[in-house]
Amino acid sequence: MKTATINMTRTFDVNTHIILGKVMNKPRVFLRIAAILSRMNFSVLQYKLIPTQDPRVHDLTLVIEGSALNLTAALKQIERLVDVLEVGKGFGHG
Amino acid sequence: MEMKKRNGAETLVQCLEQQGVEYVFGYPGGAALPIFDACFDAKLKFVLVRHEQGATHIADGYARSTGKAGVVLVTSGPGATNTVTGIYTAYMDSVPLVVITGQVATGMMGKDAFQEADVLGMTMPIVKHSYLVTDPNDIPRIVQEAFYLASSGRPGPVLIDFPKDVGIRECFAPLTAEMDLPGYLTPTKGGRKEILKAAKLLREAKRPLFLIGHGAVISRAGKTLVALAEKLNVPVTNTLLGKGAFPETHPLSLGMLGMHGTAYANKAVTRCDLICSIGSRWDDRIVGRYETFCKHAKKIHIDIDPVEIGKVVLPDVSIVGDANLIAEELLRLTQCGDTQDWLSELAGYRQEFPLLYDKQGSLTARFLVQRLYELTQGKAIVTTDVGQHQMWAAQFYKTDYLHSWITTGGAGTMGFGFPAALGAQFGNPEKTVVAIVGDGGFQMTFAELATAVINKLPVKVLVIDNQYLGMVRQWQEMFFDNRLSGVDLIGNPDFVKLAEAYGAKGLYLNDTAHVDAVLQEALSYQDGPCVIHARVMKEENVFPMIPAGKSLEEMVLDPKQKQKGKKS
Repeated sequence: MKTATINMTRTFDVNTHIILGKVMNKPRVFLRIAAILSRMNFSVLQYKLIPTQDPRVHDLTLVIEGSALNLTAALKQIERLVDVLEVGKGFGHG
Repeated sequence: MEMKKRNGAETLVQCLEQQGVEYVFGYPGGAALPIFDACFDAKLKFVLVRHEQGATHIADGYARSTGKAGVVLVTSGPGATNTVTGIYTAYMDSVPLVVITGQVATGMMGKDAFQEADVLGMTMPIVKHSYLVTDPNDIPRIVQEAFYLASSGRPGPVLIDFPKDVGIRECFAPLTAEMDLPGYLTPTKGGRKEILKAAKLLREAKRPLFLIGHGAVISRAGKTLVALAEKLNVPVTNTLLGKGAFPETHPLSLGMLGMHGTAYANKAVTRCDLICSIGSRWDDRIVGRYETFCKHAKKIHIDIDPVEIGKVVLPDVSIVGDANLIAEELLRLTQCGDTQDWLSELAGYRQEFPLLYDKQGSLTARFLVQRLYELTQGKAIVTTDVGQHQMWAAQFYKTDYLHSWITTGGAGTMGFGFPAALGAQFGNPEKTVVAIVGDGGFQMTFAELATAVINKLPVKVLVIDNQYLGMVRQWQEMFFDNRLSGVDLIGNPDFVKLAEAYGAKGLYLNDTAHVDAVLQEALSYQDGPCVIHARVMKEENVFPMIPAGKSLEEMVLDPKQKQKGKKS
């Protein structure tokens, strides 16, 4: 069994953001999105894909944490992904 | 409906042929055996390389010199991982590649099977898109999509991971398939409102400047840009990858800007009151310190990729679309401008800070490139690696034609130039192709000499041998008190003997007096590759230079020009 100590102290100026979108129901969609977020130094707090009436399309909800300065650039890169139909900011706080 | 039975691998190869693929560059292995078996009967030519990195650079050179997608076929595991540098190089410079990697059978995936590698996972950040084929019936659609994605919009590499069993199983799908890409849109003309705004800014500017990048080369905007610049009398500077989009011998051309750009191009950037980027992404090598870059100038950014807008520089007007179509629209909407004072000012800089080279004394790379330029009348396709030789080639081999300057820009990959030249020669058998490479870079991929000899490619390889990793040495000299660390290439081979060992022609050069004779002998040799081993001055530096992270105003001039520079 692995054990880890998690430091709960926040030392960075971070924000929490909600991202909403529609993505194709294809393997590795989340991996592609996560790779972009990781490169821009975002942590993914929650990730949810919900099937829609169209079996080819999923609704995407992401809760991420990271600098708001990088958010627009990250969203643009996510939107550029071939398997992403649309993506945008939801309600955020912080 | 097609009646003849075919397996997945045969379907793949037939689909490639349907895409008009002439050459596939690669290296075989166990997981890719069904595909290689299908290649046996194919019309397309499979070119066996000596290392998979070479295959990707050859395909890259083919793609950049022809505008068509380059195709690579390798096996799983190390075969696939060896392509990573080449895929990354193509990704950074927006080059269309379709890379097919063999994969272990689907039932073995995830079990650490022999030569299994998660190549999809490894390449995810450096591909435009990627596929794992699990059903042979998807092959026609996937191939169709892969070529479309690689070549359209902002081009880039697309990877198809192809498990062995998919190649063996039967495919019932017809060879032509509908694409299914609802999430992929390619902007074309650009917004009318934004174009009108840009036209207004261009009309109002007193000191306008066009900045031309690789996007203009990809969209073949050459003629439109000449017409536009001439109509408006606007000077033009180009990025390293933008060479060829606007003729560098044109009176309005200032040549390359940036870290090692011409002093007059960089002066123009610091003095302009409007800069209009067409297909450039404001790379840090041209912007320097972005906080101070063109601080008082209006900025127009034209790019096909919305991701680039506002990434580095916040523009006043941004237009998302194809460079050529937008330039055509601007040509229709703009009026002739009066920029005479501005052009005179720039002519003064050009006179004051020309690019310098010595015609006598020890052999220098600058003189070599200059003579190569003159002897080939600027008509050769030139490829390079990264480093000092690349910058001298960019400065002294003026490029007037689209798709004739092939270099590794974003990635700065050593070992790129020579294999890329082979690809360019495959795609342009009638043209003179010269690889200008360093002694460091050439030693990373020279094994492709065998590929060049076997295929009788008359590529000229100009090895600029200064016995150093020159650019790193220059930085250590200038910014680290000349504490030279890890840059001495003592032990270089005799490149003439090396060439001869492969059956290629080798020529040696170490003095200025014999440059013309040797270059001419190499240029007239058509029976295969010719390597020129040029021993040049050891400690020549590239100038002008803007130190990394500094503003364009902090440009370091050639010591011979320094005094002049201080006066200005």
